[in-house]
Amino acid sequence: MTEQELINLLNRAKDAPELGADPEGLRSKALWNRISSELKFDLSQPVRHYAFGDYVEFWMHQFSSVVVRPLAVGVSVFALVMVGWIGTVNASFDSLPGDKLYPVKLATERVRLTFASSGGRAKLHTEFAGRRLQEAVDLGSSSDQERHSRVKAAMAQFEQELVFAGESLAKVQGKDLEGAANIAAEINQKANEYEAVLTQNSNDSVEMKEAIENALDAVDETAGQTIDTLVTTHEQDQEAVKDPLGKSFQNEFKNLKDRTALSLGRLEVVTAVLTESEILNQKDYSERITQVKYMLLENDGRFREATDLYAAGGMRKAFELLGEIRTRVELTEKLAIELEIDITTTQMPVQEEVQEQITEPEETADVQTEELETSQE
Amino acid sequence: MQENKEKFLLFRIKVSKDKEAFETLCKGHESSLRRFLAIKFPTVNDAEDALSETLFRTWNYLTSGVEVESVSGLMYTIARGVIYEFYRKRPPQTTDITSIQETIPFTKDATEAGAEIALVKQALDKISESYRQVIILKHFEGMSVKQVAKEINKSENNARVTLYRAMKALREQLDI
Repeated sequence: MTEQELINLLNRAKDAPELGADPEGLRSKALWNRISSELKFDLSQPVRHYAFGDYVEFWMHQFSSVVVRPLAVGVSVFALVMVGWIGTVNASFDSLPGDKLYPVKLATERVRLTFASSGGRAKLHTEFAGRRLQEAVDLGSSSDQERHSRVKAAMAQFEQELVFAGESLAKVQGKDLEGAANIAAEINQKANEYEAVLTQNSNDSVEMKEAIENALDAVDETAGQTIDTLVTTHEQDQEAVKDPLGKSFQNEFKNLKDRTALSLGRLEVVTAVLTESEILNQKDYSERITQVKYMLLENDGRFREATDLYAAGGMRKAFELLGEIRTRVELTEKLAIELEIDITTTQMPVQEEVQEQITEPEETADVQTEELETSQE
Repeated sequence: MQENKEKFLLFRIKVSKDKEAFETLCKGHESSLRRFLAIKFPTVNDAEDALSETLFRTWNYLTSGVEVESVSGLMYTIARGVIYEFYRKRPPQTTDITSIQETIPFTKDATEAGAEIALVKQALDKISESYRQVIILKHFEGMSVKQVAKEINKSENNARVTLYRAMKALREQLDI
């Protein structure tokens, strides 16, 4: 076969559907209908034309990536600040994703990172994570139509900032263990605060629940890394991290104790309600309550062991044990929630039956009254 | 300018989860990707399923915040993964003339056309991926050698040589 014969063959075959041709665009249309449905695109929206601000945001991002970072001292950036950027920066501080000045806020953050050391960057990334989280919370309560996508983007940025904080901390750890320990203590404190904010801002939307769970995982990861840094430092110099390590241990210990007490309290309430309704022995409620209680009470011994290990200086083991306790506490919380949901959904038809039984005697009484009246007539 | 446009669209997807930017970005690669997958899958429906799966995963990747150097490279990498998963779950099925004859009208012209297509598909499937890609871009998508070079991220000369070798390899497969 000659070259030309082959080209002719390919030209004849190129419009075949078996070779991926779609001359009328029908398959492409079906494909995008499918994708739009799955990813919740809105086909009815008119085609979007990008505004000047969109391009400015992009070029600022490019500028900071390509020009600002390589400039170690950043003299030109400093000159830019002096030319009257200060007012704009101040005004941008409270801006949220989607606001006109939000790119300025991000650009300012990037400039601050350029000037910072590794340790400074770890702290800054942690601070910026807090800002992203606050933005997500503020957006969640706003009436912005695009708030869901913006909240998700802010949460993703929150996770990313925590990852960067961890990477910067790791760099510091390689050079200055004591410095890393101090930074780790600060980050650990922030991580606890962020965990509290995330837990308080639970959402009914499935997408947001997933975003919050991912963010919590990121916080866990960061907290774990900071503890590891503190423990490693302690193994080399006990006095250097005595205070921050002690604080971290106490915080975690108290948190787990509180959660255990809360779960036990919930179980007591559930038991009381089921007993009053005389359905405690229905299904396997009693066994499940006992199982969860047992798991929680078993932790008492572990708490004592962790305290003993900490007092004896076995930091790593003490924190590992707290980690195990945390896993069990999270499991018991999950089991308790499942039990409560099970009870609620199972008892709803029972309540309806009871309601029917109440109305039936009333109806019977009405019929009897009618018959009586008729017979009297 | 093309490179900047792609960077702008990637930025919009990453920061604002801009779905229109995603659609614009993907439509530039959709046709060649569809052909790439059509050759690797036994039926048109399988190829379409694989294409939508590739685009879903591309969206997830682009919105995850990771920097992407080349969208084309990313999409083809994901597409290869989708192909691999498909065949991991079921064995590959070759298309031969008998099975084609069962699905197309039994006229002389239709049968011959169907047989030709099946042979071309089989032969394309047997040559290397880089050869297959340049043939698709040049002869199916109608790109110039310069455009092909840009798409595969090689010099024009390199693309020309690859195309020559690709056609030779395809001829050898068809002449067997």
